[in-house]
Amino acid sequence: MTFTDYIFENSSKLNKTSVIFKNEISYKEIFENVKKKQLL
Amino acid sequence: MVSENSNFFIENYFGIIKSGVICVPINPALSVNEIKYIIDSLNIKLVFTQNKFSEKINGLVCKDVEVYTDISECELICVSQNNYIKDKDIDIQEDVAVILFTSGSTGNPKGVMLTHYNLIYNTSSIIEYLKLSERDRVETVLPFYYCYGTSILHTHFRVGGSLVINNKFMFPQTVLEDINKYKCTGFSGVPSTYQILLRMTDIKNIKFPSLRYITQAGGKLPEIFIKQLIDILKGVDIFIMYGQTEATARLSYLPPHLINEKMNSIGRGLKGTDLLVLNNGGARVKSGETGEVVARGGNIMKGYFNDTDETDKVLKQGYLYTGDLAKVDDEGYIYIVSREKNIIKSGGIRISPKEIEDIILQIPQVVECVVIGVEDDILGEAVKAFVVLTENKSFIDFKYIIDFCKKQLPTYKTPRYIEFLKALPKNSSGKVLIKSLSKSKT
Repeated sequence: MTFTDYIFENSSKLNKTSVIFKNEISYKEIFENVKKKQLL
Repeated sequence: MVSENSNFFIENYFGIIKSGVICVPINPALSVNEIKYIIDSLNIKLVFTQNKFSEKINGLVCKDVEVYTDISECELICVSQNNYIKDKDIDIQEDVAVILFTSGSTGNPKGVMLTHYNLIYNTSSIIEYLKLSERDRVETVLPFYYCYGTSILHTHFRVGGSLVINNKFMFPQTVLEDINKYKCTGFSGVPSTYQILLRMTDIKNIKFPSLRYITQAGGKLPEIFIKQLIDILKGVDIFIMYGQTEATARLSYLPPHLINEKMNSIGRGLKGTDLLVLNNGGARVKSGETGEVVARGGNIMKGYFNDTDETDKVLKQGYLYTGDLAKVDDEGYIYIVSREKNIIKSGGIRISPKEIEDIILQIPQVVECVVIGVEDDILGEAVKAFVVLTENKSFIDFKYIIDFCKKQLPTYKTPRYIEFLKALPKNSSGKVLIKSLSKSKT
């Protein structure tokens, strides 16, 4: 298991706030954005 | 990755690593030359930066380096050279996921190579002893390009907890307010974080009903501040911890229930990490004897990027030699004395600056203090203290501090020189930049 697989292993189960900065963003949203940001 | 703490950092940091590419978080406040040194020496081909730093970055990179900002519309980024590793091909023991830069003692910063395994190993250890869960919400003021900050990011994402990002530590009262506003369960800081919160905010008059724990690492917090935290934060677990970037982040912690009994200790090695104190002969020190802290475990770095000489100086026979001097008590609890390079050699006697700093910090009007050795024709080195006072400082002067020290220290440890500063020079992680302090005898 790679580091990011380990970090996001439980992401599908979670639908809650992950980061509060200038606004609130959910765990799921961050993970979706991580997948989009993968370098192709 | 040249970015302050933000959603932009988090998404791109994990996105880069998930792609099998190595992520190199860089402090945006570094000078142009320092950032250029890192980008050039690693042959970096892609830079992710917040728009506010793009002018600085575009001015220092070559034409073949692509720069993406937080206002770039492109979500899927194409690497022109097919030089990344596919996910399934990653060897977690060998492949590097992150390179964190740490300031070197001889000039250029050193790139600490951390593998996927290093990161997983240390993240799991920290989660276990902090008992983190998805119910946890931490307020973070520590930057993610600093190993302590990245460890907070890693642990809370792994457990499905949440992060409250506060980049405004220059207004420390807002940091306290955010703990309650967002019902945070955790908070982390380096010594200066707590010294400023304790002496420059209203912390004594605030209750923190949601706070479950705080952590402190990044140097030794003087005893007087630990005691104040215990007194103010009743019912909150206080974790005193120790680590290095070369160990991913964390090497030891002191269980909160031992904080009074083992005052000033950094605890013992994490589960699965051997943390020893060895004397010059390579044997374990006896109780009370001083030696160097060495460590072995899955969290120890692969090495410094492209620097075999420096790697060989600190990684020997499977152990990381930390450069920190410490003592051990009868039960194996470790007490840091000083960094070897910071020990003052005066008249043939070795003096720990921490002992003198702890005395000066007993003066309530002193917010921060650092003690160094300055050149002396007779003693070799003499003691000099840099002192930052609170605003209510009218009667504190050179004589007051010297007299205060004389009551508690032998003459040879009493500072010869004192310089009053408005603030100590620090890096953006809050660590004091000792090398930039003036060695003048004023």
